[in-house]
Amino acid sequence: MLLKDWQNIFYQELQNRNLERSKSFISEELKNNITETRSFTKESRMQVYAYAFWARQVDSLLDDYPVLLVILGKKAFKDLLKDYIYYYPSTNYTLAELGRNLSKFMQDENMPKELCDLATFEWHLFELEYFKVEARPTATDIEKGDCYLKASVRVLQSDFPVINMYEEEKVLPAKMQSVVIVNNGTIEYYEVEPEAAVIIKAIQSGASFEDAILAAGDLSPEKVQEYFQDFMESGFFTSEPLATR
Amino acid sequence: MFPFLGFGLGLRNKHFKEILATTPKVDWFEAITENYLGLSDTSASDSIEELLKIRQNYPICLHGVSLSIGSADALNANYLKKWKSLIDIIEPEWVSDHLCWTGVLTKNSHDLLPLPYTKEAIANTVTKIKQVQDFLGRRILMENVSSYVEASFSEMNEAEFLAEVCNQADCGILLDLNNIFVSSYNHGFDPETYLDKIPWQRVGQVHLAGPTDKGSHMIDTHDQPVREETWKLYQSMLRRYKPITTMIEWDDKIPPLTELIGHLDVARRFVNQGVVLAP
Repeated sequence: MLLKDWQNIFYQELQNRNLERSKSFISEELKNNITETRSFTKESRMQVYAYAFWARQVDSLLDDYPVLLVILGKKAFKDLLKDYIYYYPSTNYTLAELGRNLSKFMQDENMPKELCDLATFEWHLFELEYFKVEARPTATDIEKGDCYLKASVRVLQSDFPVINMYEEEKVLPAKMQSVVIVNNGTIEYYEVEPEAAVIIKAIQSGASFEDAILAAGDLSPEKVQEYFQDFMESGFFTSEPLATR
Repeated sequence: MFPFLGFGLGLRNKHFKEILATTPKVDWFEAITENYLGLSDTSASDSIEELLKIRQNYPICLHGVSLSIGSADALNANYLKKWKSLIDIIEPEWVSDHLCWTGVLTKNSHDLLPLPYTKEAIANTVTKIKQVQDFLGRRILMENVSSYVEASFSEMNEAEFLAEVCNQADCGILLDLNNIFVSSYNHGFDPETYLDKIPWQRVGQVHLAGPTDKGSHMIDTHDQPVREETWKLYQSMLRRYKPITTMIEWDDKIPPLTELIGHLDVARRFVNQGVVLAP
């Protein structure tokens, strides 16, 4: 058997196990190409790998989504995660990337929108821990124009109060909420006005500050000043250009 | 080929503050490479700063789990670049990963999966190790993994495979004595015959750890003390060759640092007192 064939059937075996539809399955092709002893059968040998495959990945995701775990309950959430891992297998060297598409998968599965948004929120809280803390701009930096949106800023505009759902660990009735999440040494999140979220998203997409303000509609100069003062105080900006980070 | 660094421990988050505060009697630390690579779209994470603080007082080796050197897939260029950047920052004594595969067709199992011991697998692995060594500009060490499954179409045993790969690729060996014990128990071979095949001059480092005994088989859990059988292999190794840089891996149910140092002192005593060394 060629190396790539061995690896393909081995991986398929791991992926197909532990799902209800194919419990305790061992393919004939793999069975015919592995050894066993009387006390340690082929089935049991593959089960060691299959258990590690699923347990390692599911446990990692349970840690990444603590509030979804509480809301859905351990069994339902684990079942969801097994399906997710099956349809979105890890393609990265680090387990830390594993949860990146969970919210998308939940949308594909037509799960309630509030839970999908909560998954997005929890993913951002998790992923931003991996970002370097970027220095805030000083007054001199700002005067020189060295003021940029941090790489570790995420904007979430939801029809549900995701911050409140996260903090109270329960599903709440619909209420629009715009949230900015940022790494300021600790991961912080702020509810902002919808127009402020539009400005941050526009800057994130590459717009100049002027164009980003225009994208938010007809704002008074006082309002714009108020938003930017909040952005500064909340640590959304840095003096470090993206290329140097 | 590799200097003797003494007796080290795996660097785990749980012990970071204590290590920085007390500078315990450990000769060196092994850090897990992937813990410092960040996400695919980020630069290295802030945890590197903590590692650098420890680096000021101790030699560091980097030990990876995701190289997937034996995969039929091509090497992951993004991973290699990040690894090299980390090496440039940390300046480790050496770097290592496992003689196994972790994924195929771009999918990652996040487990150390067994290779068939065939000439084709040797050729594939040797080519990849050479590519990695060329890219990093340094010799790497390859670790034998514990296994639960063996391909019936293998053309040699594991020790012969390990020796052949490392000789052809001109790389070092990280010899995990616990893995040899676990695999010998699971597949029914004599671990001493495994040691007979080892090209000792290539062995730069030894891993010790404790598995979980499931009766019919052993699982490499790294959550138990080193077993008596593994200490015997350690002594056997010392009779065959000179002292080799040694460390204890403990990844789950991690005991206090002082307790780990106590386990490490057992290895230290074997080297310092108990075993007649080979010339």
